[in-house]
Amino acid sequence: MMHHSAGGVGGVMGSKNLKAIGVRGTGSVRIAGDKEQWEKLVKLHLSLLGANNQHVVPNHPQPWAEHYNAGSRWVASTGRKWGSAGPNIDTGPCEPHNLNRIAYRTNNAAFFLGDKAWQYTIRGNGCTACPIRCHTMLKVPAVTAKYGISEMGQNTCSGLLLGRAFFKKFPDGPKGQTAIEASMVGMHLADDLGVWENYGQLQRDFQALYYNGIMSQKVPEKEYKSYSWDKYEKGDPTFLFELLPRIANKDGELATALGLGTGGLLDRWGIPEQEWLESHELRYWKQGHPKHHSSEDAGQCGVIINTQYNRDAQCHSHSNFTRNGLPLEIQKRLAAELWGAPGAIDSVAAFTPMNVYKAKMAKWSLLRKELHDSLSLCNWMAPLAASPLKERGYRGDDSIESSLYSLATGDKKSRRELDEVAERIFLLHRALTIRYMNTKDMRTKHDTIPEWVFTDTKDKAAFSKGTIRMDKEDMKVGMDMYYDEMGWDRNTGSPTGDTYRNFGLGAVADELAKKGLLP
Amino acid sequence: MEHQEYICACILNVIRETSNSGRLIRTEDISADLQSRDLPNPQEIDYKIDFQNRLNQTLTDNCDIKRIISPNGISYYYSSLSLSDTYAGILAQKSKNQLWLIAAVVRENSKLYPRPIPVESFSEPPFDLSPQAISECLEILGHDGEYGDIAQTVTSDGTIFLYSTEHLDPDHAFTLAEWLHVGLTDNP
Repeated sequence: MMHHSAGGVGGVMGSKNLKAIGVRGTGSVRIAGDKEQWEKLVKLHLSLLGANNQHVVPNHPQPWAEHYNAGSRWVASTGRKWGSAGPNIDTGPCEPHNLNRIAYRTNNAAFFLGDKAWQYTIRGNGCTACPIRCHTMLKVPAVTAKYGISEMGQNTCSGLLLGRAFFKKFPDGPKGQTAIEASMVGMHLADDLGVWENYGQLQRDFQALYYNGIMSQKVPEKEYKSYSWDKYEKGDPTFLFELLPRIANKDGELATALGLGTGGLLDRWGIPEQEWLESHELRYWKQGHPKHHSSEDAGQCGVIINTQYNRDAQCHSHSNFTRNGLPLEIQKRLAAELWGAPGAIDSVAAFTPMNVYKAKMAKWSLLRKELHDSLSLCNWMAPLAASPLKERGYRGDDSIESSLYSLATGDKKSRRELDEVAERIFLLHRALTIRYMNTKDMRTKHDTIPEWVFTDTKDKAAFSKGTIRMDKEDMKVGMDMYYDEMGWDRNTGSPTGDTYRNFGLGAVADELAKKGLLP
Repeated sequence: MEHQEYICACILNVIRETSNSGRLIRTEDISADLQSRDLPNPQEIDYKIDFQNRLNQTLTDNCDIKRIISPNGISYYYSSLSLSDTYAGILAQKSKNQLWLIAAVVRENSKLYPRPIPVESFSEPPFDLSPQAISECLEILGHDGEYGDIAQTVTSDGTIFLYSTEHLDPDHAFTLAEWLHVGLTDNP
C-alpha cells in the first residue's frame, strides 16, 4: 500500500508499521449475468477508455488523432520510451482501437516530473486488472548512492510529487534531475513512515510558514536551528530526511504542528484561518482541508462540489470531463446531451454566470463519485462521459456503471435507478454530517466558500477572460440552484423531510426532526 | 476493364501504405510508384490520361481516400483510415515554410480549443523543427504583417506559449498557458 493524497490509507498503515497485506485468491469471481454479455460489456468499457483521468486525446499530434492537447496525460508517442525497461519499450502511437496498447498511453511520471522521467521508467503499474496503469514504476540508480534508498519507486499524482512539493526551487529547475530525486525520496519516506500529505496542503503550509517567517517565530530557536535551512532553500532532497521522520514521530514543535494537519496547526500557532482562506497560493478550502478541482477546473460546478465535504472533495467526475482535451465545441455538445445545455461548460478562465445546467452537472458529478466509492469503481476514470472514438462523436457512455452493476449482481438497474441509489447514499452522508455538526444550517456552517475564490491576483472582474474569479452573488444563485436540484432547503442547505422520505429514508428524517435538525 | 481496376487497386494501395507510415503522398509520387510496377499492356493506354482518371476514380470509390492541397498549391493524398484530417493538415502546412506552419497551427489551436500552444512542441514530430529554426521564427512572428496576430505569453516557469490575438485575448492566453504548463501538475 502506498501513500496517496486520496485517502491516506497507506499513511495509516505506515503509521502502524504495516507495510502490506497479501491476499491469496483461491477461486474465480462469479457474476450473476451471462458471461458473453459480460465480455461484450467489458469490451465496450475498454473501447471507451482514454488515458488516466479519462483524457481522451493524446498530448501531441498523432497520425490517428483528430485532436490533441498539451495538458493530456495520454503521453505515449513513437520515440517516447520506457527507458529503464529491459529492453527499452517504445510506447508508440497507441491508436485507440488497439485495446492491447491502452497500458502504454499513460506515464504519469513523465507528465508530472517532466520528460526526463522517461529514461527512468520501467513500466506502468496500478490497480489489479486495470489497463490504465496510472502509477509509474521508476528506477533511478543515483538515489541509492546519494540517499541510501531503493532505486525503485512508484506512485502517481500527488504521491509522485510529495517530496518535490516541499521545495520552492531546485538547482536544475522544477523538472530536472534533483526534482525527480526529491520525488523518489519523498515517496519512499512517506511510505515507510506513514505520512499523509492532505493533497499537498502539508507542503503548501510548510512553504508558506517558512517564507512568511511565522515558522521561525513559533519554533524554539534551538530546534529551528537544528534544521538545515540552507539545504532546504537550495532544493537539496536530503532535507526531507530531517523533516519527514520528525513529522511522523511528532518530534519537536515544528513537526508536531505540521503533523496535526492544517486545522490543528492553525489553532496551535494562533494563526487566523482567514489568512489561509484568502490565499490563492495555499489553495485552502475550509475545516483543515484544501480545494480539489474547484473553480480553476469547472467554475461554479467545481465550487459547489468543494462545498460538500469535510475533507478535500476527491471528486473527479467533473474535472475528468473538463480536462479531457477535446475542443470546447465538442465538450459543449456532449455537455448538452448529459446535462441539458451547452452552457453547463465554459472554457477554463472564461467562465460565464451561473445557470441550472451547471447545477445539474454538479449534482451528477457528486452522485457518480458517491456511486464509484460504493461500487469500488474508479472516479479517476469514470464516469465515461467522453471517449477517444471519433465514430461515436467522442461520446462516452454514462450508463456503464449501471450496466456493470446489473450484470455483476443480477439486480437490474437503469442508469437513472442507480443514480437514485447514489442520491440516497449522499443523502445519508449529508444527514450524518448534519447530526455530527449538530446544526441544520449547512449553508453557512458547512457549505462555505473561501474568500480567494472571489478575488483575483490582478483584480480582474469575475467572468472576464483570464480569471477563475467567481462572483459572490452569482455563487449564492448557484447554491440555490444546486439545493433545488437536490431537493434541499435553500435557506439551510439541509435536505427536507420529504426528500428523505422520497428516498426511503423516513427514519432518518424522523430522527433528525427529534433533534430539531430538519429545515 | 481489368487493367483499369488493377491501376485503381495499385493507387489505393500506395496511398494507404504511405498513410500507414504517417506520410502524405504527392500525385507524381503515386504516378512514379505505378510506373515502377509491371503494368499489363502499358502500350495500349495513354498513361497520363488514364492515370489521372484512375486517381479520380479511386477518390470517388473509396471514402477514406482524401486529397489535401497545401498552401503552396501541391496536391497530396492520404487515407483517413490511418491519418486524421488534422495530422494531414499539419503535414501539408509543412510543405510551405516553417513560419507558415507555426502560424497555422497556433491559429487553429487558439480558435478551436481554445488554447495557446507551447513553443517546445514544435520541436517534436510531426513538426520536427530545430531549436534554431524555432528561434528564427519567433523573431519574425508577431512583428511581420502576415504573422502580426501571433503573440507570445510566458508562464511562471519560463515556458513560452504562442497564441493568435484574433482568437484569444492576452490575459486569457496567459492564464490558459499557466494552467496547461504549471496548473495541471500542481493540481493533480
